[in-house]
Amino acid sequence: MRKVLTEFEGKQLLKRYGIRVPWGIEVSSPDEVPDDVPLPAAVKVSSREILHKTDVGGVKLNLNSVEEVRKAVSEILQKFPGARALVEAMAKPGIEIIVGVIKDQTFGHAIMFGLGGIFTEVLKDVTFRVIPISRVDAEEMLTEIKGRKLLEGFRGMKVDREAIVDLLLSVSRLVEENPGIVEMDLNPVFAREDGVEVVDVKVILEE
Amino acid sequence: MGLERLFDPRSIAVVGASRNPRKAGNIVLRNLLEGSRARIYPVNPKAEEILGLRAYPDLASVPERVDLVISVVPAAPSVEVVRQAGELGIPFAVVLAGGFRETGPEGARLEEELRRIAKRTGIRIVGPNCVGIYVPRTGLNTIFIPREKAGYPPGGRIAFVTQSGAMGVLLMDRASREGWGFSAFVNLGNRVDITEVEVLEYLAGDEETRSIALYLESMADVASLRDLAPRIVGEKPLLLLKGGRTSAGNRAAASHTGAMATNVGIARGFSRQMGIHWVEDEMEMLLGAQVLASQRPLEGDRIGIVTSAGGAGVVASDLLEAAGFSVPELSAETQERLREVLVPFASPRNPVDMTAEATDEQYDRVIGILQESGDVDGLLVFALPQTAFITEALEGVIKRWHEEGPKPTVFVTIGGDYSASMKRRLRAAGVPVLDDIASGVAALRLLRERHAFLSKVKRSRAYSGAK
Repeated sequence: MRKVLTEFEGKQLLKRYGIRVPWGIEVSSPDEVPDDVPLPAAVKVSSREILHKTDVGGVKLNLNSVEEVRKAVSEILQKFPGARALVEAMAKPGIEIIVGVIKDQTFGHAIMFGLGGIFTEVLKDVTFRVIPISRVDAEEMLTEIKGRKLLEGFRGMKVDREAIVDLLLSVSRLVEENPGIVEMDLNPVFAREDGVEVVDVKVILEE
Repeated sequence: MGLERLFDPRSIAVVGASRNPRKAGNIVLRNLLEGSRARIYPVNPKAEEILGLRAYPDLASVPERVDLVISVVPAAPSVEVVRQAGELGIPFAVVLAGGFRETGPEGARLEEELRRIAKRTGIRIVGPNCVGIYVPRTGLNTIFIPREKAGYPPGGRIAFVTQSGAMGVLLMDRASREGWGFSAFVNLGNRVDITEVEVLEYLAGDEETRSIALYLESMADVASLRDLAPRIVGEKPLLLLKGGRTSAGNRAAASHTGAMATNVGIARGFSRQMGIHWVEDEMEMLLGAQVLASQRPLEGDRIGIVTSAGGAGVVASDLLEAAGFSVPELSAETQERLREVLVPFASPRNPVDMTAEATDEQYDRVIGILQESGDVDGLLVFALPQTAFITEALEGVIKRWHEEGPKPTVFVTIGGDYSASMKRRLRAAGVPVLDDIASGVAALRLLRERHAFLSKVKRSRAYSGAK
């Protein structure tokens, strides 16, 4: 049996391994949104049945007042009866990267690293290692992708490379300690000068 | 018990030995008689003598407990042969027959039976569905292809382990034509018992073997390979050609990662993680194994090119730079020393172009100056015998610098029959001369990677030691 964690559950899991995620709460009514909600905020449908939230119109971004946030929560709850809503601070943008995990028949758990967006989807510019990985493995992953220059301070966009290495090591440890994970996407992750922040996560478990 | 007696058996029984020269049971026997130092016992209930040897009706009547049984009979009778061998306490069997798991449920049942016999009696099995083992040094040869149809390489320093038998035989044929020597060849076949992991463990300790080439379509035991790899890689280079590059992520993946994951992507990552050289084709594997077996690791990116053909130097520079190397202009001091050796219109900058006026002595002195200079980390030498002043003495120059040069040096010879004869002699003398510019660059890339892998293995050892 496969089980999908909600984004909120997934982020709670990441937090336990010291991985940075945006501020967020799960609510089942607009009243639960606090007056001091960090802005701009995002509201996303939270349900184990919905894996691709954007595709079903379950994501509202760039909400700039608490009223807008509450209105978005009402709309989401109305559109998806039985679901809850995840209210989150919008992460400051950075260079998009993806970190993933797949349980392979031959190799067991493998960790994937790549740049986000078209780099991954069109150019398939990703690299793998088998879990557990060492710091050297993680460092090599950063230098192996073709788009590596983007992580080396391209056009003044600086990136904390050490933070990416630490993220890869944390994910490796997380999977070692939670071997029921069969697939995981941290996508996108924003890599900035001040570290990395996981904007969305999918976790699929096999029970 | 290790696999020593499998690779160097004192006595061998060939079950299914035949008087018919076209049958595998005859060819295997012939191949053994040609080189093996073991005592050989043909087993065949219908013959009294085969190829001048007394034949025995069954394994039990062979006058000694042999180290190795080669079963040349079909699948079902092979199971009986291995059963008898196991019960007689014979330690090793090579089962050549196909007709096992690869053919369907009945074959799978027979294979399972082999597995049970191995477990119960302790006999160790290579195969089934394989061509087995060839060891030039001991003359062991279980392969059922006659020598007049396919070449068997001379003794050498690379071991070749392959899951596919046909791929193995073809590459050995090719290698023997090129004059590349092997320390051992093992075809694993269906891997009912002995897998690549145990063979690698044996080869890691084999003094004849300086590098190991591995062709696999699937991995038998990733966890054990993971444990073993750092120790092997610390000792000798290991190259992997992975066949069967289908997508593993084809099942309806729910994640991006699942959709992106291919078995080749993960295998390549695993390979780098373990310090195993990932190669793209069979020639890169064989050439790479030759070069890695005989050259020191390359500790930097700066390459000095020595040539008598300007164009070869130019193309080599382009390919080297595309591969992340540099071909730096040599220091004034080095250029000064080179000018004393070269004709006035030659170029001492790098590539060092001696022009068609090149002599054996110039080759010797130019290589010597670059070996001594601090300007480059490794050398790419075009050994071209076609011009007027080059004699057979060039071979001695190459051989000496190959053996004594402190910096890794890759030799390339381009040309036809005349240059090929020099190449063959050099290869027979243990110098892995390559055939073209791209192969030379690929060889340098592998030597640089070897340095990176070795430092990685050392660092991780220091790390686990500190823990």
